Amino acid sequence: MKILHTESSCGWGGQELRVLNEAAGMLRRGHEVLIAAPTESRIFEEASRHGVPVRALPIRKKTLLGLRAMRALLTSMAPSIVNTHSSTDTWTVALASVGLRDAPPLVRTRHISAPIPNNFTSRWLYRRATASVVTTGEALRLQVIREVGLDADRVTSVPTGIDLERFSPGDRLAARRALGIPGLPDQGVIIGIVATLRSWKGHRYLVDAMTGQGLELAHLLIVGDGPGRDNLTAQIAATGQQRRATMAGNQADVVPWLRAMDIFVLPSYANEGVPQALMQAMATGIPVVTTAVGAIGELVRPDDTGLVVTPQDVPAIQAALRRLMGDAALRERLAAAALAHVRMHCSQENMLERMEAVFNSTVARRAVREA
Amino acid sequence: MFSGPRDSIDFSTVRRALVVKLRHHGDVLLTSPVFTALKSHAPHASIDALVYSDTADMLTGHPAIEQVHGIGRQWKELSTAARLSHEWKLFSTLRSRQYDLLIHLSEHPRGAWLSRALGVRHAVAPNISSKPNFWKKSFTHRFAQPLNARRHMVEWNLDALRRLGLQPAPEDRQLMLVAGAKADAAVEQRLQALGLDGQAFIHLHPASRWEFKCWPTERTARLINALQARGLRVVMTAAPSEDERLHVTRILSQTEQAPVNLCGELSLKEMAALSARAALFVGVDSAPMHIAAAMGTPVVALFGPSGEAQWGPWMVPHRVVSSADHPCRPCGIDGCGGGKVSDCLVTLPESRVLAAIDELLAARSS
Repeated sequence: MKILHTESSCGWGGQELRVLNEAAGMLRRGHEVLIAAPTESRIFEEASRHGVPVRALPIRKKTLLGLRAMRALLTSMAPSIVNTHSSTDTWTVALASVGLRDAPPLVRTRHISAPIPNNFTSRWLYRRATASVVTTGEALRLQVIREVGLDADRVTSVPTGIDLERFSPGDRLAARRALGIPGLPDQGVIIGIVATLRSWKGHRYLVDAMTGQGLELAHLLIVGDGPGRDNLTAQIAATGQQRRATMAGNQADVVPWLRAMDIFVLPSYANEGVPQALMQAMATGIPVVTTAVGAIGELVRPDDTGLVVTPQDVPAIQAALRRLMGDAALRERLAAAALAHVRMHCSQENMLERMEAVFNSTVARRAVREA
Repeated sequence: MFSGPRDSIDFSTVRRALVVKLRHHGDVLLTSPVFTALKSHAPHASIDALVYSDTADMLTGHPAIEQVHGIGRQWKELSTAARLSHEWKLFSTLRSRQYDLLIHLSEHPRGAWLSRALGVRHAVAPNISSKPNFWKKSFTHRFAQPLNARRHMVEWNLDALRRLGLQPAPEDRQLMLVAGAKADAAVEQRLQALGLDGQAFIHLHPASRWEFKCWPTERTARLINALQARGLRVVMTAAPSEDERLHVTRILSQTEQAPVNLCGELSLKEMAALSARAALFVGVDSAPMHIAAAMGTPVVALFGPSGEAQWGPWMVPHRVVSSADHPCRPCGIDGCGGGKVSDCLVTLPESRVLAAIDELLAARSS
């Protein structure tokens, strides 16, 4: 199969990583794959660095130039399927396909739960121009069906798979020593978060929660960077936690950081699909505390594969942390169940197989319609 | 048998020698045969090098070299006291080595006063007529310079030995660069991750620190497209500088499919390890081109204002692609009229580069 991925986003997070991993995986499975992205985007740079076929296309914004370039690419490459990932590139592909003979079917992947505007143009985009929609979780799938009124069989949830060979349990003490971060204790409890520093990831509730009773001796480890860094640094200082909090910034390899943690917390309150960092923490075999926002609920079943708290609720986070810190058996049980769940449902191969199935059925449906 | 110059030195009495090259990476690499030839003529002698620290990788690990001493380029920016402290430390080290032969391979004044301050028995440097008497009297021997710009820099460097009475054997004139186990392993791992281990690929290094030595980005992009259309995989490298990054981005934005892009990712040693594994190197007249030649990888080199007679790929299968329509080349200036754009280079068509690549690849497989 000839697969064209398009991505207009210039950021670098779970979404872009998934696109790159999916492309690389399909390549391994013998498909012909090309990513089209703006030259200035990080995914363009990363793809070329990792030897994943990538073509520069001016599709960062909706422009006539981008539209023409896309039309030329669709004609010359003649892909069997186009998989789009952000709004701008989806629009560009959809409009470039208008009137094109043998235009390839469009599969849109929705990575986040931002609302879909209910107007004529959006309805055209989702109902007419798009052949199938893939979401990164079941909750997102239901949202698309509800908001756009699509047939349920045209919307599939394919959670993002992770590399289970890389994300696996490891020795906590060895990881801590190898990181050698001043202030990061050898002994003692480390409560951690790996996420872009954005408001809706809820870092500030975790920082506030750390001041609670019974949590004074725990250390807070924040991995990631983003627009919220200054606010967070200020909040840590204001609550007097400088000595028991580490801001590690962005890390190319988060595995040792996860392994160094005792408890992983992701207090998101909006805009989540299935957070990859949460899955990665579960695959590393550490107990997690999170909310039921977006599609997180499919991953974390309360008191089974993790603890679930209400969003933006500091006392709830404190209670969950105290419960975990005081009960080693509970920590072990949650971690083991989480690990088993992730191994069963969230492997990269699992994701690739399901994406292949979506692509195949989309192409087949098109063939039936044309016959 | 020839007896050489009357004032030839007796190499059997040389216990320790220092070779000084204060230039850029490529220049330093082109001195590597000097060490090989000296060592094979005087196997008992210990031989050291003195270079700018950033170029030390060009010589470290060389089997004929005992120590590589470095001068920091950033010393100039330090306070006088800090600078003097660095200089004193270096001088003390050099003095404690008790050299009895100094070979100075550039016009840098440091060689002259080092020769005097270290009190070496023999010292040789190029004969430069414009230099003052201080220079001339600093050295016991001065090697003659050709009156044209047609002698290869490797031979020019070896001329210092010839002037002392040492005729380098042809097999000692090869370039020598040791990537080292660490760089080898790192590159091996990278190629494996890229699915390129054991696969034939072309190493392309399109940029140079000098813009006037570069080929237009649209031509490089078209060359990449043509190579990839033939099913050849291309791995592109560049130095981690902002200028080169920009150059590479311009190329990438014009390719139909970006090649593997390792720009700014590799150390010089890793670049050497990568080159060694490539089927072919394609680039302009720059240090990486010499590195590829040192690793024995066939080279296609695009030449503009600089001359291949002096700077061409050394002792390795190669093709030089240069203009036949510009009788003014090589001119040695920074673009036509000093305008940073070299006509003889920007007009070179992709077809000629492709033909050169095909020829070398055919020769390699036969």
